[in-house]
Amino acid sequence: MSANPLAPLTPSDWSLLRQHGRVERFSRDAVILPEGAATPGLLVLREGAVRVEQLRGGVPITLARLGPGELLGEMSFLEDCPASASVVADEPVTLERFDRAALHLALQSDPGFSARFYQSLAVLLAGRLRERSRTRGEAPPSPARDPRHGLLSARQIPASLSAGVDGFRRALADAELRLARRHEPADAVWPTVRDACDGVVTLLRAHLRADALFDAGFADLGAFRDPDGAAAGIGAYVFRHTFSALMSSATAARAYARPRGVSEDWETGALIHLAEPDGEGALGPLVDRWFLARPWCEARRAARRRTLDALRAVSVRGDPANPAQVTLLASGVGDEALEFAQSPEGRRLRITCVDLDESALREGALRASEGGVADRVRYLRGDVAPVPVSALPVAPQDLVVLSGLLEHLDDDRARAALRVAFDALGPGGALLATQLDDGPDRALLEHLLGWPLHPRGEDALRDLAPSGAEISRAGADLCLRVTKGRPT
Amino acid sequence: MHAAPIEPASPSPPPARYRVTDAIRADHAHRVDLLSPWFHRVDPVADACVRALSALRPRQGQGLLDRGLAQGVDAIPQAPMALRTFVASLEELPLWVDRAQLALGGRVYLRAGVLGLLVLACGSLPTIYACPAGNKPLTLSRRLVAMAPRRLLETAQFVHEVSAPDGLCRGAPGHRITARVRLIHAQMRRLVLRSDRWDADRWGAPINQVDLAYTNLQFSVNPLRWLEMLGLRMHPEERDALVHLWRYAGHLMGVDPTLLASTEAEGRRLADLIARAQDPPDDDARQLTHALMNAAPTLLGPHARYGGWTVEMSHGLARHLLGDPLADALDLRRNGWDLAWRALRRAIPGVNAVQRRGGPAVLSFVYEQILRGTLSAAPHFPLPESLTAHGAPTA
Repeated sequence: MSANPLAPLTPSDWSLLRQHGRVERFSRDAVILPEGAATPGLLVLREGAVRVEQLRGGVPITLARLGPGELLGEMSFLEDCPASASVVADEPVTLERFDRAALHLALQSDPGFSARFYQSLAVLLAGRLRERSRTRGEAPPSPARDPRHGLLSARQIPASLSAGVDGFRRALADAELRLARRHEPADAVWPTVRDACDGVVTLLRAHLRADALFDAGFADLGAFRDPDGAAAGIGAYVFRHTFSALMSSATAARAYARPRGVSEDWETGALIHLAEPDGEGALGPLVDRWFLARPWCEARRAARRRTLDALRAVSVRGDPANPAQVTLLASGVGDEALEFAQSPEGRRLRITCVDLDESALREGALRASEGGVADRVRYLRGDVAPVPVSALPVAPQDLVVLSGLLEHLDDDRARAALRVAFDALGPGGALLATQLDDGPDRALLEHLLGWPLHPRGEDALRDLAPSGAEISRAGADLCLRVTKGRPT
Repeated sequence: MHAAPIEPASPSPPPARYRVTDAIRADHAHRVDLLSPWFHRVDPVADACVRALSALRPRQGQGLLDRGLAQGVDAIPQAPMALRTFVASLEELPLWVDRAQLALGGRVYLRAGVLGLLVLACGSLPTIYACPAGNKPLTLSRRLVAMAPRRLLETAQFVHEVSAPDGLCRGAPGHRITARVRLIHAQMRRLVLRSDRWDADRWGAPINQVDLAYTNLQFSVNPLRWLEMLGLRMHPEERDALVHLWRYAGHLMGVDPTLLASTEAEGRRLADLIARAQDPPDDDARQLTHALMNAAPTLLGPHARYGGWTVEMSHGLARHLLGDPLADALDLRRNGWDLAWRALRRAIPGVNAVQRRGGPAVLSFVYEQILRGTLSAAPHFPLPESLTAHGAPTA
């Protein structure tokens, strides 16, 4: 953002301009300019920061955060139309307001000043348009699903794999018979379902090992499959033969469907955290119970608990008058933020939830409003992994949490996300991030749910992280922590 | 006046498998250094084609390949460029190819009939397996070790189709099988390089030009010697014709012209250099060879229970053809069959004379019966149905 938005203006232009302006001060959360109001003129921020909010579905969503030197109201000034968004003081603010009518008189009285003034606005708007075009063009497209057939020849399917898959199907058919016909209790049938589902994941992992893929390639040289192609084919084979069973699980079915075009949206996350098995037919609830008990789902629930612990720990740095600043990146609805905000310590924090999914932001903002914590939990629409990196529009943070995202990003975007998160920290601030490793659920997520994942081990994660990162293991996750130093 | 020494084309040192003794250098002079860089060279055209095929579904890729090989590159305008380049390269007939010689060379092998199959099984293939670096692409996957019977039948079918009348004309089965074998070599190379099992410093590139050239010689100059040991008489022009046939087959197989023998003498020199300068047979060589020897009963299919003697016969014949030093290194058994083959050669010229006077060749009949599965399970060459369905070759 420009530190001098009206740079072409000369000192005499500014003298002329200030004859028609006045200094105004606003306290935190004061509405400087309401959305839809007639704009009285131009505003130039001199001290403090404001947030630009727009009502989406009846709840305010933060679109941007602006600091000293920024110009506001220029579009409404040019088009003479109401404000398209609200401007709210995010902290104590000092600004200069230039009255519309008086400004028009000054522009008419001095052609040179008028030319330079409009040139300034043109340069400002051109820069914003260029930035918007750049970020819109670089947004990654929703991953399309591969057809996943014809990847391997029949000779490349190992006999042990086909036998194992047949065994899985027979076990589930038997389990369904016991439930539906013999009316055995679900808990009695549960071990059969659990063992069959665990077994097919273990079978898949075994056939995705390097030596197994090598042999698959040699099994039919005329199919010209390399190990990556063989892996895709093996995964597709198991996928086709387990699909109906897996899709009986409500959670797995939603995870596979990707209704919003992303692998893991906030509603899928909600099902995982709720952990109440549900599904189709007699088997569905049991398959769902198995899915919800997988290490990956447990890791997601554990990550939420860790985030709550971190919020509690950082809250001691703040008080209601001067709250500690926290940002949750790829937050979804921000359940942890909402839960903590409603606790006794909640007033010690100001939490910004950042996500690209507007439905999540709207839902979160609505819940914050209904819970009476809208002053403590804000929702900002933004890309947390822009390439090239651009700063988050937030004040220096005491804590930034990046959970459940890195495994969905390639190396460039994962590095960008960690950079964005680290750069948002103030001195002494801490970044907490999680990364799914190459564990037992990778095959399940990649091949049976069709999620394009980027699991990483400790070394690979360290290569992407800011220097000084500490990495530990928590179940299926690697946990990264790095603290920004204080100036000496 | 002495010629300036010929410098190797590549600065890369030869792999450790290339063991040049003073005796070898004395016998082969400048050829020793000229051969060195070829251990690192492979087949870029086939390698690129296989990369392109890997991006297609198996049936889609095979369909394009089949159509291109059968009907020419103009029949596959939608195929990836690398596939079209490969097919087009097979359509260019070298200036030195003589169709009459190709035909004569094929007849020579077919006249040998079942003797040709025995030479293939007990001479050519064990010689190929004996080279440790050459056998590694086969043994890195245990599957290929277990597939010895099938590989023997596939090789026999390959040689048979190459030798068939007009077998190497574009679109003919021999031409298409040769192209597919070349691509399978490229695929094996690709898989081996993707694994962590290949020692390039020790073995050079996998299935490199030296390996390809040496393999090619096992279908031409060495069989000439072995068939002669078994009593088959061939006129000089017949011998030249067989070498010419496999020179062209080697060209289609991707062997560089530098390493293709144009005469029997050239081929013997190259075969001698490669054979003497390589590592002695290792456990993989012995395992592959024994699997091959044990494959003989399976060729008899439902009559396999009568085949126990064929294993001993194979050992004896292999020892007879390869000689005691190599046979001992491959752990081939010493039995009475070695002597039996020496005696059998006395009978061969008589049958040979019958064949020369025309009429159905008894030996050829037995050979073809084995291939067609009358005496064995049906050969299972990995050809798609579309290939076997194609009719007369196009020239």
